[in-house]
Amino acid sequence: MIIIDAQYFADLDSDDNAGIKATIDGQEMSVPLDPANRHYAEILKQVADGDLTIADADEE
Amino acid sequence: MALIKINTRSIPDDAVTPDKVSENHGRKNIIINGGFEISQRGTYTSAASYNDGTYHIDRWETLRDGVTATFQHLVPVAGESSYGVKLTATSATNGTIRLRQRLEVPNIYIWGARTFTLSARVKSNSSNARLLMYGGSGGGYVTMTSDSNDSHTGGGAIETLTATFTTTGSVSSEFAAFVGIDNVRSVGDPAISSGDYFEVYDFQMEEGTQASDFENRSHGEELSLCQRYYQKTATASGVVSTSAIVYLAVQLMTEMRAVPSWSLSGPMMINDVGVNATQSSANITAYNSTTNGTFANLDNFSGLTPFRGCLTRQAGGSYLVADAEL
Repeated sequence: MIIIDAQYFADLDSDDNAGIKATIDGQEMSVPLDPANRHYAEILKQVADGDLTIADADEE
Repeated sequence: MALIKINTRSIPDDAVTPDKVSENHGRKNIIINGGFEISQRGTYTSAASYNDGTYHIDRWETLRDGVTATFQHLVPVAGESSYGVKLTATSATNGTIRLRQRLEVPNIYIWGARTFTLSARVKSNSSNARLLMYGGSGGGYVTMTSDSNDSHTGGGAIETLTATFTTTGSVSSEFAAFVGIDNVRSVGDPAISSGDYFEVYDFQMEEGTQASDFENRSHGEELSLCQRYYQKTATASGVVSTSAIVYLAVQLMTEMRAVPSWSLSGPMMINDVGVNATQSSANITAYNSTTNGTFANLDNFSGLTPFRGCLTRQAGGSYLVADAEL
């Protein structure tokens, strides 16, 4: 799975992270913070392996 | 009129065969889309190259290792009434080309130690085309029983392959059925020549030691089963936030396996009563997502009027896509 441009996005009502925007295999996706989601699980794996960095959410 | 009394004692033991008496009757196929009929992601009737680990037909992941290969969705034609899939190697080296369906472990785990049989109709020019199963207790590829007929002769005709295995009370976190060109238990990689191929039809996994006739489920039922893992919709409604942003409530048609990832398959059109705004590079951000739906923010539009109600209109066959595959 090729993942690039990963960045957290914040909840609309708080500064808490609500999910991750990333381009996965060429498709821009909104990925939930759910360990059962295969995209999120792969993002966590690639971060742990040092292959991916997730940018902080933009400040509103 | 003479009457003949029939009882079970009058039936010879060898007259009762697995072909005549199936072990399971209905709801027997654990595999989803084993008939390869459902293809929500697109049309793939022309052979095209694919990357390792990608989905085309619902629930089936296309894999390749070492070699390059093409994927093709086979639709019913005269002489072959079933949908199928064909993978063809387009380079030569040691490697594998395979289809994989991962099974949800909770559905299998509760059954404990049980015996299952895989079956599929396979056509191939490779004697390494076979059925495989991954994920017995402790992981690894499962050893099939010695009487399994799990590999093709490579003779180029349709053959029915079967493979029986027994779980040992629990399964690993990955439990998956395979068909493809590979070695027994995937030990090492076989030599593959360019042009080596396999076609597969009617893939079934059922409890018991015998392969019975393929279970044909209705298109609607099979689609619903697939939508637990992947679904798309062109219909959502909400309110315009700014001239560029709309908030949409998206209700899923089937509860999904996990909270899905959301994406757009192409240009999106929003109608705010006053205008139709089409954007080829709209973005979707899903907030408060659940396995039943999401509150979505679509942006990059222009010309919308804030605070109006709005709805999506399908533009060029584009959809909001929810992906919760394994």
